[in-house]
Amino acid sequence: MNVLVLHFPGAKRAALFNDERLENLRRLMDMGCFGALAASGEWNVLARQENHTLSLMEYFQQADKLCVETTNPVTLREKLSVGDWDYLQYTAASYPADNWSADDYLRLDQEVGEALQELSDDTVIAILGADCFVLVSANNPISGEYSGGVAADIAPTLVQLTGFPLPSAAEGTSWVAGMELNNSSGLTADEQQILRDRLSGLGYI
Amino acid sequence: MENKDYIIVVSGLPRSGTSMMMKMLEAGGLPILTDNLRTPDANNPNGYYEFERVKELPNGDYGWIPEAGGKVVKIVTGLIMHLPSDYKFKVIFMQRAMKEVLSSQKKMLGRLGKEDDRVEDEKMRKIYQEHLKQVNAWIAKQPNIEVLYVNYNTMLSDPLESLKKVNEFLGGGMDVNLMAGVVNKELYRERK
Amino acid sequence: MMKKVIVIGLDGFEPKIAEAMMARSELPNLQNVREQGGYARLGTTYSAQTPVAWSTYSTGTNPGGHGIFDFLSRDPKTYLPVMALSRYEQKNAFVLPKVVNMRRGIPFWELLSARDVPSTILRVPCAYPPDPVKGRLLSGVGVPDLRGGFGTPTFYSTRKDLHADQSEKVVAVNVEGDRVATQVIGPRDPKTKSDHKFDIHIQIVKEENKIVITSQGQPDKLEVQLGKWSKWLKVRFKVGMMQSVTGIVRFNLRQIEPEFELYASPVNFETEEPLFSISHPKEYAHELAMKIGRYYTAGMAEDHDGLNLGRFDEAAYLDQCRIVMRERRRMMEFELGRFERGYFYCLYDTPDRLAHMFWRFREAGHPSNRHHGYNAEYAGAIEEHYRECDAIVGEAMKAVDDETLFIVLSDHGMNSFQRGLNLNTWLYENGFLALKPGVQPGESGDFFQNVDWDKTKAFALGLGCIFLNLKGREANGILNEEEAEQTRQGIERGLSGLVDPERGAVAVRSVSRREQIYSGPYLHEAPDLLVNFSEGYRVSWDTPLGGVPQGLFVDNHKRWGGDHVIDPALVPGVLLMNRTFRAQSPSLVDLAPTILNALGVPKNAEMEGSDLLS
Repeated sequence: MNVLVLHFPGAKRAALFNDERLENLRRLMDMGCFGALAASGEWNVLARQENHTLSLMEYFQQADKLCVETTNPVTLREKLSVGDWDYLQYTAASYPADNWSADDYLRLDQEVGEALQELSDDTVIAILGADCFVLVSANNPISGEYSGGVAADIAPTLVQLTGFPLPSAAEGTSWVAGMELNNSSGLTADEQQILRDRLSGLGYI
Repeated sequence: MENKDYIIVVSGLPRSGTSMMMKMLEAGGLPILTDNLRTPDANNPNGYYEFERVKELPNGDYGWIPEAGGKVVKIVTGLIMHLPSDYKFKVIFMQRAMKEVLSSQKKMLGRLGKEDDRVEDEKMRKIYQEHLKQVNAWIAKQPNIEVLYVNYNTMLSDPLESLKKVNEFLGGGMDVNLMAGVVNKELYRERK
Repeated sequence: MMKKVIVIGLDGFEPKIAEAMMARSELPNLQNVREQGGYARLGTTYSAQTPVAWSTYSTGTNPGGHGIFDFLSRDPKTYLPVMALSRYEQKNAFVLPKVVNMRRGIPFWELLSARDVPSTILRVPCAYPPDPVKGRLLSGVGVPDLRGGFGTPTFYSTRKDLHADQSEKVVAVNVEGDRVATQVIGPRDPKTKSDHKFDIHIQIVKEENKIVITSQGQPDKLEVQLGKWSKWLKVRFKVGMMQSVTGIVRFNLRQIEPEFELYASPVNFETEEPLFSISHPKEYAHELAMKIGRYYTAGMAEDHDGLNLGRFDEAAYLDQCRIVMRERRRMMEFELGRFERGYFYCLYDTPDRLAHMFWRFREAGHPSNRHHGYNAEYAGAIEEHYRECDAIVGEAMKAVDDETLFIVLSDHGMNSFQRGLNLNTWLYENGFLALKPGVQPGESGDFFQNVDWDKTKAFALGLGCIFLNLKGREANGILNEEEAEQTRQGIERGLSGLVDPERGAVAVRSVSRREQIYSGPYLHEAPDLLVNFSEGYRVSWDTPLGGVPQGLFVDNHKRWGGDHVIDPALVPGVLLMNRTFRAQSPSLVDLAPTILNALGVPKNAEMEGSDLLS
């Protein structure tokens, strides 16, 4: 299972979630969950241990996972196209720090759309704005709008969605703690009905 | 410029631009370790730059290594984890968009008249990606190996920028403009 | 060399009917073309079906060169029938699926485009997704409805005893006062496996024999007169919290009382934001709608299912066919009005769809008439329609000048379909297909349920295709090459000349091996054997989807009483040109070279035919 985090520090929820032109983002929102994120803690800090803060990336590194952190869109594209990573974290640096224009949001959507092209189905995707998130994963039991989340919850939630154990000193709260993760391989059952649908109206049959 | 302290290794998956990198380093003036057994063909008009003896690495044949200091040798990813730990290596690791690697390999198999191995693309992609992760992780743990990842696609779109990094990695002194001349757009026909 | 080539396609236009009518001077415009140039019967493809034949027209190759052999194919991994015209590919779960055209080969308009010769192509089959072309292209047969099939209509009724047939939806409704609250059924949700729906509120205005449908769609109030087709209603389905898709639907009010009955057409793509592009350039479909009004976008525009299932009557179907013809004619007129040079094509599908449904009235003894009644009024329905086609040809000829090659053609003819052969049952009875222990024919559903693949040598699906259960190719393949050859020979021997005992007539003329009739890069995708039926016969209704019913021969009881998927030699199409042409056995592969040559563009190496004008 791979983790892809796309962080757009300047993107604001009000614009991000209400712009109908953002097709890729909206598709992801429908596939997973999304919502506001209160500014408590840091999204990429998993745990604080004495003098050390354990970042999400360090945690995966300790588990022998190949981790990449970048602000360079070229590196992002390279990594996505080759696929030799387990954890890929991209912080978009080429956007305004604040006061995004409508075009900036459109660009975000395009960047997201391009990033999706080469993923495998078992990728956990987190898209983070200044005050909001979209979280997509095949096994994510939460769908639709999720309220009450804080930034510190992101790291533990991602860890649980990948199936790794949470460290005891985890700072935030995983939203999927204690929930049954849907790890079965989606498509099954009524194939025949779908077939009938596909073939109906042919006339010859 | 020639530094005999380490051996320069060009690696990567088949069809990810390793021969092009060899040609570039040759153009940059580095001596190449090759036995010219495999002649140029439609798939690699520049030749293959193979050195057959590296295939014996898994059997512990390191005899050629002491003489290889300062030279460039091509070693595919499958063999690189057999490099001995008592020599220094600088590895230029070529990477390329996986879908292009797969389609290029497919084409090559077809063109050489060999039966397509029928492993579906998706399966192949997973296998290769896992392999790359494994190799990358292994390299990262080897104190005697330095690595530079060079992306084939980025190289083609901006050769000078990529070659500057290569030059820097190998201690400088090569003529990057001369090397950039190798980016033979023709090679990129594979993508189409 | 010509400045323009104008091609009018009349799908399924039958030469025998056309010839008789021309002899009686009932098709003056066709006769006119014939006199200027010539007329011939046009050789069609194995098999004689719209997607196969028009793909051969487009590419100039036999089906082995373009890969379309039938509407249906099978997935060798599952033995399940699949749509053969296009397929959906999705790179991963996070991106939109992409439609991939299964018609391969190079359509001749690509060669024209490469030489800068523009094209206007209206409703060509098997160009979905649309081929990029210099000019404009509107896709035809192959474009699905919003549910992804060839067309799923919905029938609303207060009757509680109605059950949906496999190609429709039936919705039970209640009339409360003068109101009915119900929903238009949209695409399936792959996650929840339920249907997306769009609310509509119906008000019955009994004294005016009409209803008014109020909704969030466009228009917000739509009037539907009893027995009449409504205008289009644009509907929007929310397919998620964040996403929606739009479509267009039209209604036919069948009855107000004692029962309330309303038919809704399959939901067609809407041109402004179609789910998938249906034209090239992408905006063209909508540009056209702005000029001529909304139109059917689904590949199968005629609601033959509605009639076949008895949800409306022949009169309503004829009305609908007229609507389709009218809008197609408007498209043609609009485009011919601005057509200056290059290639023009417009296909009228209706002659085919109409003849399928009205053929039975030409034959009082057709078994279908015993079930659905015979109405002499419709005995000449096809002729009447052909006269309408002739008028359209006359209209198109107005755009013809001295430098125009004008072509009228059909892809295949039409014949009678009175008796069906249960091909899988024949295979079963002759030891080529096995059912699981204890299962008898008739107890096995469609989709090859209960077929014992470990003992099956051959199976039939589609419209006369037989596939061998080859080792290494099919999931549970058992035949090695030697056994395969024995199986081929056995089936050939057994089926060729097969007699229908009830009628004493030969039902199957011959069996073709794919190697005899096809060549080219997609030969390996073709069915292994093709069954060539005699006039009056076809595979039974249960065969295409892999059913193994009881008995070999069955009467065709459906209103769909005409068909053409028989021995291709029996169902040629028509060809008329305004220039003298080689009348010696012209066939569909000759059209691409002829049209290219007329426009001064050489044919490519794959094209098998030759210029009919040289």
